Amino acid sequence: MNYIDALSLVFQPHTLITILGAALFGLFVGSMPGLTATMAAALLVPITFYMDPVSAVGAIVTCSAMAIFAGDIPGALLRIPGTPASAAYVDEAYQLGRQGKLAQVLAVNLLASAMGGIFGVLVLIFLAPQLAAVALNFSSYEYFWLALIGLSAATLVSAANPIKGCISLFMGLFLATVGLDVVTGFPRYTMDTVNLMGGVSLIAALIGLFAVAELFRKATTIDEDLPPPPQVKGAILKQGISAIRQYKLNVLRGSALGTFLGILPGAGADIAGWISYAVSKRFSRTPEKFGKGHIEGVVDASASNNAALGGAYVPALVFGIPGDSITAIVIGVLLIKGLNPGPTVFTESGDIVAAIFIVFILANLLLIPLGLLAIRAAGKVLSVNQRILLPVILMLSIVGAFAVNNSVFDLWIVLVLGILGWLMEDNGFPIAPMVLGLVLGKIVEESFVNSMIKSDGNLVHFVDRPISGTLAAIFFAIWIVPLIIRLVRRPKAA
Amino acid sequence: MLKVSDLVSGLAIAGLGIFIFVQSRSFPAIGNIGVAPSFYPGLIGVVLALCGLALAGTALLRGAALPLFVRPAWFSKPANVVAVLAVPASIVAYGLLSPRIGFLATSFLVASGLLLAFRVRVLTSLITAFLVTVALYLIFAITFRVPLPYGVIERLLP
Repeated sequence: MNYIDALSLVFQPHTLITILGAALFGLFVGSMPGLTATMAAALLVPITFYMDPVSAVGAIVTCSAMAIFAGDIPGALLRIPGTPASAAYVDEAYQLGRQGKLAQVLAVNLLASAMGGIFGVLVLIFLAPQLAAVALNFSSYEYFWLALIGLSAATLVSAANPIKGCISLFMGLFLATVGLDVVTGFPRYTMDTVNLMGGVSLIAALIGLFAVAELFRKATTIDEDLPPPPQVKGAILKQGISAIRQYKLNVLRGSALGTFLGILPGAGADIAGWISYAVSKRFSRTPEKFGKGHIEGVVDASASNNAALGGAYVPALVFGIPGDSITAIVIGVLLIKGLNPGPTVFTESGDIVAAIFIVFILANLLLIPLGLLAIRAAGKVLSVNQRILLPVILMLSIVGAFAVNNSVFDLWIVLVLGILGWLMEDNGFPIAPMVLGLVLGKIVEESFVNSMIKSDGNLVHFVDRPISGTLAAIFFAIWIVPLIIRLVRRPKAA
Repeated sequence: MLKVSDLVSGLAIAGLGIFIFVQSRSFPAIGNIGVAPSFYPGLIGVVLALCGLALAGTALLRGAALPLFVRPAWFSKPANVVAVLAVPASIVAYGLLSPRIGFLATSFLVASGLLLAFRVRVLTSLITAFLVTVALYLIFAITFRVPLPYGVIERLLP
């Protein structure tokens, strides 16, 4: 990886303008209650389709980092988290706001987010190439188990009901089988239409599941207006710096925990926020103050959810296994751009990977000035009429999904998956496993079929290499250990 | 959205799993390849069917099978029903109209209809729809050079 060449890729006027545009878009969408960082990333996908790989991935990296921070703004102002990643500490932030510490809590959100984000990226920069060097020795057997581990962890983590998580995952895996069979070229589940021969369009699916499903949900509450937001007054940064100084170890702890949780498949920024807040309370000297307007937990969790973003790119870039729904989108974008996420991406497209790392750092540095701007403009942004905003977003979704292949059929995919996503989420079926299944389905099948052909149908070869055997053991442990724990606990509880 | 009992959704998913499995049986095995194209989707079908049955079964065991459907709160508010229906209607309208009358006319009509369905005032709707159409045209047709559907208004453009 050559960072000098990578710098020249990033510091191109069109790349910088793209990053700036994506940053403002991310801040706006993140600030809007109910519109998630994942939705912001999904809406950008059709636009990134026409960009070079660095601008495309850079736009999503920047947009998601901004959106995760911006989700804190309506949390503190209105007690409504802008994105699910801010949900853990929304009460705490709101209480602080009511005590006249609005500027302090938002400044802490901002500074801790930027620090956590940079921590996550630094871990990504140092860890990913080392892991990739090891992963170069992996064969299709290891990839098969890795993909299964990624999918399993994502499924078990994301759903309150594991059966529903599993159903969502297998629906995604099924959607990935639609189209020509990877080995024989036989058309499967195409309903004899040419439009499905190439499979379900990933971009249309992402827009349907993440954007249109969300717009359906927002349309059901169109008669409810947001309360008027209070104005943020005074010097913002100054008030945050003193709190960050006081709780500097919390920033470090939140960042480290967030990065670690981000690396684990399935546990993204949302879960990182919850766990870090809980850890902060557990180890605090004043746990009794939590929930009554105490900044300590906000420091941990704000750093953690942004750090998780960087962490999630480790498995995504090194193994091609997404850590959360945003990296699932990024993997989709990389594949569309002809880059193959996995260890070879570091050798074959090292400059692009290095450029993505640089964009990551740049995005977190930009977060401070742009975040300050977003805090100042929050009153106006939150007053935007939702009845006008939602149709505008829907138009962007429709035209974006249509424009990628100039295909009306893609719009039907958007519609069907939009309704399905809405129905599923409202009935407790998580969407993320479905998207991971859709993105990883082909990899799972290809690595399985290749392994079967290599081993002449002998399943022992799936586990007789040391790494594949270990990965297989981890895969089975992920499914069996929770069951054993449940069985062991049950008689005691009775 | 409609709240559906786990019994209903479980049975529907089991049905989908069985459909996937049965369909996969019709895929031919080709040549001497170790795994037939039917193997992997067939497996997915079986797992979905089992998960669906497990979901339905647990709902029955927990006594949580009823009510089968719960009417959502927004159903009783006509304005919200119109807004919800406007979302799929606009996607369908765009899909049907754009190849016939072109991007600019379709986009303006669909956006106007959508905004009116969301109870935005007529003049504001028309102005916003015009601005949205121009913005989308500038982004996709001009900046990214996407050949958007050509139609009545496009013919008048230089």
